[in-house]
Amino acid sequence: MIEPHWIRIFRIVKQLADRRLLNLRMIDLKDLSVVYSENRSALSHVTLHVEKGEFVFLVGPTGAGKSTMLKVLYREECDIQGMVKVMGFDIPSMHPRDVPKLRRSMGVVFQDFGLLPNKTVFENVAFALRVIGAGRREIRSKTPEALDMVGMTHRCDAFPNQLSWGEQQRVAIARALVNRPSLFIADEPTGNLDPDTSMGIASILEDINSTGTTVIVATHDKHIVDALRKRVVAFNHGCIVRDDPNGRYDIEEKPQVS
Amino acid sequence: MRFATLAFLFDEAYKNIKRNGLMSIAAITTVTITMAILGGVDYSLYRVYQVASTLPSKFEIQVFLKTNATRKQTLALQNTIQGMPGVKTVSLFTKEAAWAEMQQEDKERRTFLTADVPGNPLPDRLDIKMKRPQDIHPMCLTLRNSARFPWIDTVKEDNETLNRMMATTRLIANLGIVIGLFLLVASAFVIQNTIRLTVYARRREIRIMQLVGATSRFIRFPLILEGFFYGCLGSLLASGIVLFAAEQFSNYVRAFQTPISEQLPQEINPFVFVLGMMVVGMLIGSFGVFLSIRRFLKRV
Repeated sequence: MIEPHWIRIFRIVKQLADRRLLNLRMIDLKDLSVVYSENRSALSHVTLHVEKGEFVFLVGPTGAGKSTMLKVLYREECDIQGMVKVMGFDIPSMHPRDVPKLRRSMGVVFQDFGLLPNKTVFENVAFALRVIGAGRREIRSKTPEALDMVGMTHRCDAFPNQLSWGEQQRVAIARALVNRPSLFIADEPTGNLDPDTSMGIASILEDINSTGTTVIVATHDKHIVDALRKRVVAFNHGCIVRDDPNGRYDIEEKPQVS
Repeated sequence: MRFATLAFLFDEAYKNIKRNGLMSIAAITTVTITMAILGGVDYSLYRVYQVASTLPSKFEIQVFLKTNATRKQTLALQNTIQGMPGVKTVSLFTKEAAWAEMQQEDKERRTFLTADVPGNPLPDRLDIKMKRPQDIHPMCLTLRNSARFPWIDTVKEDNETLNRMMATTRLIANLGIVIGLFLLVASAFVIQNTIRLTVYARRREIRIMQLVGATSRFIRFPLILEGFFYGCLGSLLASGIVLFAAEQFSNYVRAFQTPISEQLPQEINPFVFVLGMMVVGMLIGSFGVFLSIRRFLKRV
């Protein structure tokens, strides 16, 4: 049966539109440098593109610039040169008033978790919803959902200092998730965790990614990088030294992959 | 701002106060002590001023009429003066009463000065009390105008004492204003400092909120509410202390039965005092937070 013309036209228009949307990248970095002083720079001339729905590991030794890179994305680090576009926000020319808008549309798991010490687990996660002005009903439905996703429902009335390292980690992830952000950023989400817990977190990250969220994770954890086999961007001395679509943590093992 | 958000921010302030128990107690104590000193000094200075400024009203103008003035004329004059602006009371001390008093005194002292005097040589006298001490002198000048008041013979005022009293009152008032302002600034500094400590203790929290995407207004509101509360409660306690102390002191003074204590002017309205203290405390508290938090919110 021959397709009617209007359906064909509709399909072509849709394809064009899709391509147009795909062209709007999640993250667009061109020639990004973060310079502290004349002979010390955290990042130098980094160019990186991340599409919607990608899962990217940033790996590399301590001080290679992974954390700085993430801080640029949520505009904590603002001493920057070059072009940085995150979800359409132009970071270098951003007005301070618009910064909350940027941060609300992404979920960030900080290296030190950044949980509010005077709030319970539930309140900490709900805070991300409060900030965007969510109503009571929305908070009551979304917060337990996020806590359930990281398996922390049973500790929702505990305060952060009553939790173990791994539990705090998971609460931080829940808070980053609860807004259903289109970009999820995590800095060392498995730092100091035992391998089993790490793998648990890795599978949570994978779940997040499977819902269409772009995930960027800076990590030292060889196990999870090797287990998930996602795109790996390796940093050293503030430069990207490797960008593998299905990489492993170490460069030597690359031949075995292909 | 949505109602749910506003409710949350109020709840937030309440929880902050509750969960930062020690910090809250420190802040409230500081506010209480400084406000008690400020309020206590201001209260006593005002009270001294009040007493000082009512004392001159005990001084009267004595108007002696001419001896040939009839009673009718005297009464008419009394009415005229009573109707003049600034006059509190005008009382008539008749010549008969004066003569009787004099004869009585004579008899008691056995001086017999009045015995040979035919008839009553004394004039009628009007004692005038003014509402405000500073009106006494102008009043005297008016009364000495013989064209307007032909039946007035002499007008007596106690110039020297009155002037001294008024100078003292002025001095107390000026000193009170200076000390009051000085103490106000000092307590504002002390309270602001304590509040800065409570805000400083939260700087990490403030940073986290910013990183999660909270706007400055969202972060500021509960903290300002907190400062407001500290100022409010501290001032309330302070005014309680001051009013209690003032009451005790009044009772103590009254026990002496001095001439002053019988005529103490009315107390300062405690409601007005508490309200004034609370307004000052709340302003210092919330403005203190606003100033302290600015530094932390500058970075986004």
